[in-house]
Amino acid sequence: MRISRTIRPVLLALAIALAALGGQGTAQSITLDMPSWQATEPGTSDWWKALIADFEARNPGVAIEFTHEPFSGYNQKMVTRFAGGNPPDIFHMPAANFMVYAQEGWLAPLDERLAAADAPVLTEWSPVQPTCSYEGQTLCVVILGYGYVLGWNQAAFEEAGLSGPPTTSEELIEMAQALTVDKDGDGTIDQYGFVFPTVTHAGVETTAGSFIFEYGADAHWVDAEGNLQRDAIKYAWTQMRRMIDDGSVPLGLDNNGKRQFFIEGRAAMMLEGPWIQGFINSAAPEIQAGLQVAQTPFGGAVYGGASNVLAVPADIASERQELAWEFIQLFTTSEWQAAYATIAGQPPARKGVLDAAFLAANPNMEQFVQAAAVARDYLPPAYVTEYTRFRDLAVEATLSAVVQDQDYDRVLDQLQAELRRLR
Amino acid sequence: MIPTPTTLTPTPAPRRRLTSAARSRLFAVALLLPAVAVVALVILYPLLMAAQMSFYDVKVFRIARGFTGDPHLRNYVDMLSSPGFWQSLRVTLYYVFWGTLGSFAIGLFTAVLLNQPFRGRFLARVLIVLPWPIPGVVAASIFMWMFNASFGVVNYLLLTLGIVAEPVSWFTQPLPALMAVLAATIWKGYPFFTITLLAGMQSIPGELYEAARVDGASASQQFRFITIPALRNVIGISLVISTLWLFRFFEVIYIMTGGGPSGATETLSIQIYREAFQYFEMSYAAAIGMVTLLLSVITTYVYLRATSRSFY
Repeated sequence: MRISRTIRPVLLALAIALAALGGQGTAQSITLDMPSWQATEPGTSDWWKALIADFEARNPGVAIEFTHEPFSGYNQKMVTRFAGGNPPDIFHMPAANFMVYAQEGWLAPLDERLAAADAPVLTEWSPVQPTCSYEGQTLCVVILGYGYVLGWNQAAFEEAGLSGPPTTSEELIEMAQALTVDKDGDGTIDQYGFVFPTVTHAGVETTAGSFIFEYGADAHWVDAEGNLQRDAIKYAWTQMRRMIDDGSVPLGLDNNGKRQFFIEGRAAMMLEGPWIQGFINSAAPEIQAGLQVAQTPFGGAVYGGASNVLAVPADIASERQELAWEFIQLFTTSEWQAAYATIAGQPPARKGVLDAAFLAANPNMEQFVQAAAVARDYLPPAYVTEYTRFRDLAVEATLSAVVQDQDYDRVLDQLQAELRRLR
Repeated sequence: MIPTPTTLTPTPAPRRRLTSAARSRLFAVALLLPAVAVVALVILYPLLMAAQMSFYDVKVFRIARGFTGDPHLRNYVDMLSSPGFWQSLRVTLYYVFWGTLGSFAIGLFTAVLLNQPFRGRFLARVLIVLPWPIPGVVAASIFMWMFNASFGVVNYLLLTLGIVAEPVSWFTQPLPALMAVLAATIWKGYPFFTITLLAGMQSIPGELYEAARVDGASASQQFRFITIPALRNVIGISLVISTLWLFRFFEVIYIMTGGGPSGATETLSIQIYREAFQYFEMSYAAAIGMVTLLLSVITTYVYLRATSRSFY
């Protein structure tokens, strides 16, 4: 058959175009959606981006769209996405919100995958990994298991002639009083000894919980039956109220205000998670030099738990689920766990990935790792599924007792009644 | 001769022609229909859905799943037996009453002021209504700084004037926190009254005041017997709008106090938000929403009944 010379180039062009289109079809690309509130956090976001780049290099044709969503409203946005049938492909979430997704059946069980891969999550992981369990199934992997530490200003201690840091709450109270000073004599306190939030904020529960844990090895807000541990709570509230009565704590601050006071040198001590390092790094150089980290002063009891976790949504295509799982597997490798410390500045969830030389050169990281290893879980055993509401009730009760000087027993009776309504 | 019966062929009934008035009415209805449809879609449908939801157990609502189980009244029973709900209701009524009263008082005062001729009146009008377009988030931030215990201008003034001996920690005690939130609310809300009342004042015929002056009425008598009665309808509508606005007011309170301390500033709208989007108890939140709706309807009815008499 003869093809005219005019038609020949047209057919050739058509064939090239078809081949090109066909080529596109065979090398199909997939973009995985991964929102996070940490996408712009210095340090942590660098680690995420490096991990994502490595994953993309290992999986040609697969890209991860790592987008920033502000922490305030993050949970509401994600719940809306899940409810609307449009979940992300790789799901990063605060551990405190885990139950909402677990109860709705939105997370894929990981047990079979973990077992098949003989994953380190089963044997070498953070002690708070059980946070990810719901009705006998593992639905997520803990990214950061933490213990609270004490941030203290060594320069302020030296100026006050104190050798810090404190190791018990009694010492904390005494030192806080000594560190509270009006430097210029104008009647205004220039430096407070200790700072914790005194307005409605989750940090109020954190502070009270830390003091409660000091009361005894089994001390918590409630026992396994949901009854308040009244003596432990009263002890915690008394210690907190003493510092307020001494004038050692500034009133009216939330968690952001608390951190600001510490890094500006206007408060000598505060309790914080390992993310304190980011705040220390943002302090002015002359103040930063004096800011140190130590174990919390509660006789070895450390408040802690799971901070944030990774999960695979149940309602996405199996191919995407598989890729999300591969991403989690990469995240659990020793290499990327160690990088969590070296790049993000956070203690890795996997045990034993940091060598002694690194820890010796990074004393704050050593404190974070030590705190995470011994931390007692903040989740109250009887109210794990209702934690958010429990926390809010505990915050308001603590403010009533500690800041508003209300009668402890009356506040506790009211709190117990509210908790019974939950159960 | 017997007349032969004629075959009666039915004559077609005359076509009834619509009167001009009926045609106008139909045309008006046709014009209104799209708006009614939109209102039904964006207001009535969600309202009915929320009402329906309040009779079920829905934590997170999914349209595809719809409502499951039998309808019940448990959410309403729980709500009515919850001390938290009654406290929120008390806070809401207190907040709405003082917020509306404060905004109205300042709005009336500034409207009277701006109704007088004086140099710089235009600039004064601009400055006085300035809080109205400022977003609630910005207003809340401004007032949080003003009421800051350590650096706030409010404490500075109170200390300087000797009204207090030591700084007030506004956001740690229930009453001061509510006062701070009310201050921000009133500041944000009074320009609405200024604008509406000023517009009402400018529509009062000048002859009424002239006649009153001729009869020897003082300024306060003119205000009491002419201005206020003539503004009755405007006041009524403004109060209704402002009250409904405060019933659902959210961002300023949430940003300033989050509803605390100890629930002192937790209005029903804050409680609804927390139940729906923090605890994901959508049905319970919907039940509180229904009560808020009922309160709003009752308040509107009372206001309109009290102020619907015509002055002219």
